Amino acid sequence: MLRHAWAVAAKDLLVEFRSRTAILSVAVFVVLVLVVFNFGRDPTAVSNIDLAPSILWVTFTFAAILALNRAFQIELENQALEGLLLAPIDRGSIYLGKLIANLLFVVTIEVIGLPLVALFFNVQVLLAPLVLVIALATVGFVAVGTLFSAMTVRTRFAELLLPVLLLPFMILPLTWAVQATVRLLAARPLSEIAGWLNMLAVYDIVFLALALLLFSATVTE
Amino acid sequence: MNMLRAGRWITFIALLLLAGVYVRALAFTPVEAMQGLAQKIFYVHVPAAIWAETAMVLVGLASAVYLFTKDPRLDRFAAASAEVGTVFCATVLTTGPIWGKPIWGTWWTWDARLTLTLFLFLIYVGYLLLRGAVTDPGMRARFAAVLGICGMCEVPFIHLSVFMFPTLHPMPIVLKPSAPSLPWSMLSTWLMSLGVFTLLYVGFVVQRYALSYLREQLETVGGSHA
Amino acid sequence: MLSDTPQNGGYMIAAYVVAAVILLGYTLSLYLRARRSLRP
Repeated sequence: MLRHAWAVAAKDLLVEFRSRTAILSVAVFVVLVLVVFNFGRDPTAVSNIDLAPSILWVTFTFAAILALNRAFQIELENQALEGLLLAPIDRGSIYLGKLIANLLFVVTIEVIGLPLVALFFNVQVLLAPLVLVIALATVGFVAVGTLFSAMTVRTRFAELLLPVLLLPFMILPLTWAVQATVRLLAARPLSEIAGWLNMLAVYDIVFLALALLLFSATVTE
Repeated sequence: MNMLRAGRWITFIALLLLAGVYVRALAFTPVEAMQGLAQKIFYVHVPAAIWAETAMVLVGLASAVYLFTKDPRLDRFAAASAEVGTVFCATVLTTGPIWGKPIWGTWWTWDARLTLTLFLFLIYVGYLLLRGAVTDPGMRARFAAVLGICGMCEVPFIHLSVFMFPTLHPMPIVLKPSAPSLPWSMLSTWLMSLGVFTLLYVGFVVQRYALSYLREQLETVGGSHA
Repeated sequence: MLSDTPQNGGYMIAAYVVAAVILLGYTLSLYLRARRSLRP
């Protein structure tokens, strides 16, 4: 099943790579956010450390939503979904493939964004626990988002509906992640964020399992 | 239509009893010394909150069974419970801040329980929007079921968050592991209110279920989607 | 020393009214929608 998933992911990523527009627009967005947030504050009143978590997470969530919209858009444009469904592969593989492709996309953004934040805001963000928090939260919302985008892409208001549906499911891991990020950047001890890490991990496990189980209901005829 | 009539009767009785609870809570239940009269909002706010969440759990359960059995009655029930849950959730979200303002000094705080109740409301709204956006009944039922199950699974995380992270919101005084810490004079009113909200939930759901059924009849006859 | 019980009855009334409006409003909505579906 994993082999099929990789095949699906590879196909998606290849298409995305060829288009490259999405990565570019997110990169532009990252820089924009960084610049706006930087100039939009009084440096004496608001420290970098106060702003950094918000900037990080605004950027990452935007990237996630963009990725999710694009992913199924591509399918729909080329009616590739029908083809995929005819192929003798498990529905779960299709989901995993899409998940992997979406994750790689979002992670690419994060890998670009994180050092940029460190650079422009002079904040030490390259910390292992922070990376873990980011990874867990990202998996959380991309897992649910991939499932939902399979549904919304078939509706009339796909691009509007996806963020609306996803919002409550993103907010939960997001609030935990942001709170953990705030503490990590303030160099608080790890024990303080253990609770949030646990919640994030459990959330990921539960929703990944759920998405795998439910995906076929979103694509059967 | 029998079901519709039954639903209307149950709702009518529930509303009468609600009036009774109102009178009892407002006039015949002691005032809480620390918080004053505003504390009485508790008698409406908490039962509504319990049903707002329970309704979501029921949507999830019905959705899960629906995906196995494809029985349209479960889908109709899920749709009904979702709509009613939304109404109760709206009640919680309005009465909550009205209670919060005099007690905490602020209408809103991005505190765990408030934020997450807001998001329960968003899940409900999303569910209703999704149902509205899909025209094919089979697809609509399946998609709604998927979302319903996810929504139900969010609810425990919501609860965990409340217990794990200290918050401005009062910790539960009734639904907690040890015995409720309310004097009987207040507890009895609260229990009555809970009973009334339960009846109200049933009445509303039955009516909404009947409505779905009526609309389906219309659709098959070739009438416009109401 | 004696802490006064705060005078916030207005909020209580407001909340009770809002809740009643929502619940009665929904009742009405259900009634009207059912009537519309029954009419043709």
